[in-house]
Amino acid sequence: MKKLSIYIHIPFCKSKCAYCDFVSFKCNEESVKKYVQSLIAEINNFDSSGYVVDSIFFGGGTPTYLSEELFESIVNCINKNFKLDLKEFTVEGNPDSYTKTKVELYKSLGVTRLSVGVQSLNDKVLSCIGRVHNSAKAIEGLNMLVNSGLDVNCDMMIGLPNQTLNIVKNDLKQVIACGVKSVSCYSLILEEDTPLYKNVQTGKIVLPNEDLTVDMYDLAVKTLQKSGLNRYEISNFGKPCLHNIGYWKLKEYIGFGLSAHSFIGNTRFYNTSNFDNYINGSERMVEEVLTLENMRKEYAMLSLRMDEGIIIEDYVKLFGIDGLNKLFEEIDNNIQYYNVSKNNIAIKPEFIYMSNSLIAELI
Amino acid sequence: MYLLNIINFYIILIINFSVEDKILSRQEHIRNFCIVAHIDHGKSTLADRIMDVTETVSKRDQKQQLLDSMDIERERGITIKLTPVKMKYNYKGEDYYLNLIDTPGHVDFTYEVSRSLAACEGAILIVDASQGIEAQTLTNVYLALDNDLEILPVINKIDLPSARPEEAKQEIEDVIGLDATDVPLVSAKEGINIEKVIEQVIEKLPHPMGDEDKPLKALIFDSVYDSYKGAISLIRVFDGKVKAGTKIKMFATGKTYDVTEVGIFNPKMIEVDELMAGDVGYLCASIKNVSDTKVGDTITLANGGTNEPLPGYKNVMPMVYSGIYPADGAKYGDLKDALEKLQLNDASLLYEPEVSVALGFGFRCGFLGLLHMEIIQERLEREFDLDIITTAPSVSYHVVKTDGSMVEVENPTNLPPQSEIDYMEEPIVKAFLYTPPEYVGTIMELCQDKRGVHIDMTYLDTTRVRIEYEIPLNEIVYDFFDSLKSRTKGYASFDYEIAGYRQSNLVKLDIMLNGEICDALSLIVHRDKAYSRGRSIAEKLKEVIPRQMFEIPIQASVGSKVIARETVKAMRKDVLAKCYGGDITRKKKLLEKQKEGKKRMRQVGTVQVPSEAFMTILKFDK
Repeated sequence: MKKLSIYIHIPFCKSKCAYCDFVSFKCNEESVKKYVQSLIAEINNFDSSGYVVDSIFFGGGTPTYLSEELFESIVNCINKNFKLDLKEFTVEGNPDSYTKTKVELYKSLGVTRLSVGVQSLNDKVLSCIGRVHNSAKAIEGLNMLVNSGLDVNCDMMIGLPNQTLNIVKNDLKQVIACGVKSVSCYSLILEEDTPLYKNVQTGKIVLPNEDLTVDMYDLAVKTLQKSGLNRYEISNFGKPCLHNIGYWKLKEYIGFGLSAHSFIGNTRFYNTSNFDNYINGSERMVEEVLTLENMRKEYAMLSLRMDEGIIIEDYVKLFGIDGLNKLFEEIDNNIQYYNVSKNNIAIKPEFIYMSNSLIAELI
Repeated sequence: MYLLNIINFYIILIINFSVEDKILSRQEHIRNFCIVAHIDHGKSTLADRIMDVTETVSKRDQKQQLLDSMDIERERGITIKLTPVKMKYNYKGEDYYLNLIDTPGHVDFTYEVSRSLAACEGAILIVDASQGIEAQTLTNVYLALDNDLEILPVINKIDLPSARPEEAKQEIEDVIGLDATDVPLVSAKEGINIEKVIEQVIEKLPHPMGDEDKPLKALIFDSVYDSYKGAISLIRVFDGKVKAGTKIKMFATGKTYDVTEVGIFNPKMIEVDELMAGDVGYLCASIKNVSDTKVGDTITLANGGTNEPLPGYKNVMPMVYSGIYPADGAKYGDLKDALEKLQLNDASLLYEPEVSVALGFGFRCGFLGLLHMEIIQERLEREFDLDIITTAPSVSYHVVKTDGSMVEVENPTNLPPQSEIDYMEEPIVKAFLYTPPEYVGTIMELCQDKRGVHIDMTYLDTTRVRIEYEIPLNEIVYDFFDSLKSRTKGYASFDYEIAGYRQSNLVKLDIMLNGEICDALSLIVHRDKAYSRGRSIAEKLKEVIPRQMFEIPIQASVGSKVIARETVKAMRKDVLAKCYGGDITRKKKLLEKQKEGKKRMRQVGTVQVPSEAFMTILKFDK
């Protein structure tokens, strides 16, 4: 039996954040219902024979936007169609969108992990990026979630307007104090066609410069590590997320829902990002068929984001000694930026925040 | 017998007389002329109208035709540059043949213009009814006068509400000194009074007065390349005649050829039996290179030809040089092919291979001037779809070495070591600036800053001043045009001619990136300018060189002395967003884009330098 991850995309949000360019929107109840019907149809259609599912991830958008009934109907559908041996089951949401009832339901349905988009605990910063919650609500929410006994992951952002080093440090300390198991710390990426982008272009909002952002990142790494949340990937600290590690190790995954991506066998698929087309049952489309050489390159691209880097034994199993030799040739020019040991090849920690320049050479 | 002889004599005389009469009468019905005008004063519109009135194919159709044929011809590497047109007009019951010869309109091509003018007997001078006489108008008048052309002034755009024809007339009389009483007032746009222009061309411009019986003497005023016919010469026959089969000789090269075809432009090429004294047309003789049909050269007969070539021929020398490199090193072959094709049609473009440590294989190219350089660069990019990197324009320096020998240096990299140089000379130009009086101050400041020496200043009238300066050419090739435009809001115009070489205190300014000299950025500058140029280049490079994984010092140096320094700090961050829903492909594409960007960079030692960096240093300082 091959191991499989499931990703479910819930493209609804109460309001759109100023920096977000992903597929999500406000929606009426009717459309949400229709969407879930299509989602269930899509799941029913999938031939799951030969697979055992060990992780499920509800991402968005805001999956907690769904009513209890709708959420349960999706999980039931997964249960009906897949053989499950779950090691991890994550539901994403905003601090103010989890309710006690919902969390109890999630728990009863086998959810193990809640990932909360907090981003910042500074109200000035939050309003600048158009988040709906304020810091008091966020902390209240976090406490409630941690008390539920589930693993709680907290998404935080750096490089935000009005953010200072002090704010970053205080935010993280408060989050840690709530007892979260893991923290994801992303730097803001300014995407075109977002309100934030326009405001930055017109000079209405000023973002911290590269140096300050990196100082924030360094401070975040230090603060988190001091509290025992060690970095295992560029942006991830604490207890590792199995679902994400699956992506980084070329594990197969099936994505259901609007604009969801899948990787089955050696093929990457994607779903339409047009809501109406999706509702009308648009087929999954092929994005790319990977050759072994493509996979070898992607494997390096993805696993070098992790602190442990490429595990040599795994790599040789997949791509042979020839593949390993090729890899060594490829990194030879930049060898000073790598730690190479008997067991693994990793980017030195001091260069991991600029790993793209190195990884770009490998693809 | 005696009587018979006398009769015979008379008959011969009569026959001879009538033949001469016929020849003369033929040339009396030809007018060779061009139109000179300031840009935008309506040269091509007037040409269009004249063609309409003479029922020659209209320029619009012609353009259409030319474009149509160009698409096909482009693949064969032809572009028609100048198009003379032969038109027929019946005036007072007699047919006249009017040859209108086009002229290129820029100072870089002054020599080509002068050769086109030399092919004519007269010129129509267009004066804009509202703008009056402008700098270029005068330049053109002087050129026409230099070539002994009869000038026929015409006042155009009389349909404009702002037209002041009486003032324009006054200017023609005051500034140029021509009688303006009978000047046609026309609107080329509206087609008003075009016949009057044509009638004056016939009545006032002289007809050719060549001798058909003398040996062939024809002027090449342009040449184009055709892959089937070879180099085609555009000619004006002054004496004699030429037809297919004639054995001809080029004066400049001494080479001989058999003529395969002669013809006229209608405006398409139409083969004719023979071209005779007074005619304008084309000639093909299986000539392989346009460089063998030199503009300004005289064509004569291979056997029994004339010993006296037409005056005015010059071997045109490039004045401005720059390195041209493919942005992608693998495209070297494509660049070479493109330059070869361009040269087929443009003998004034010179190029030879050169190697730069920073830029790899490329070419050092010589141009007539800055516009010529821009045209070539643009054609390489547009017509040949090449991504090119151009190095800073340079001029040709005379370097006199301590052993007394002299070398010409066009590429700063080739400058001999300082210890071997006795002294250096740089080309100086005589610059003529035409401007409204309010900009005199700022222009003089600019010229002074460009090491100019003030020669003269003349008030042409109350609104125009002519300022004359001697300025080193290497200051002009840098940012002179842009500065002049910006300082005078575009009101001043500028023209220059080479005035010779002058000894000068010049030094080589090197730019070092992370301790290594980047040869493609080296410049030869005056010692007094080295410091400011060095600083400005270092500052600009700091802006365009992206942060890399290590700190990059940028230093400008003269000899071993560093005169300016900037630092590009080490990069600290380049992470991408997290991947939502496992969208790996998007992430990969972003990385691939980054990689592509890197490919377009040049490796200078350890430093990645973007192509823009080489251009940025050409940009002008405010």
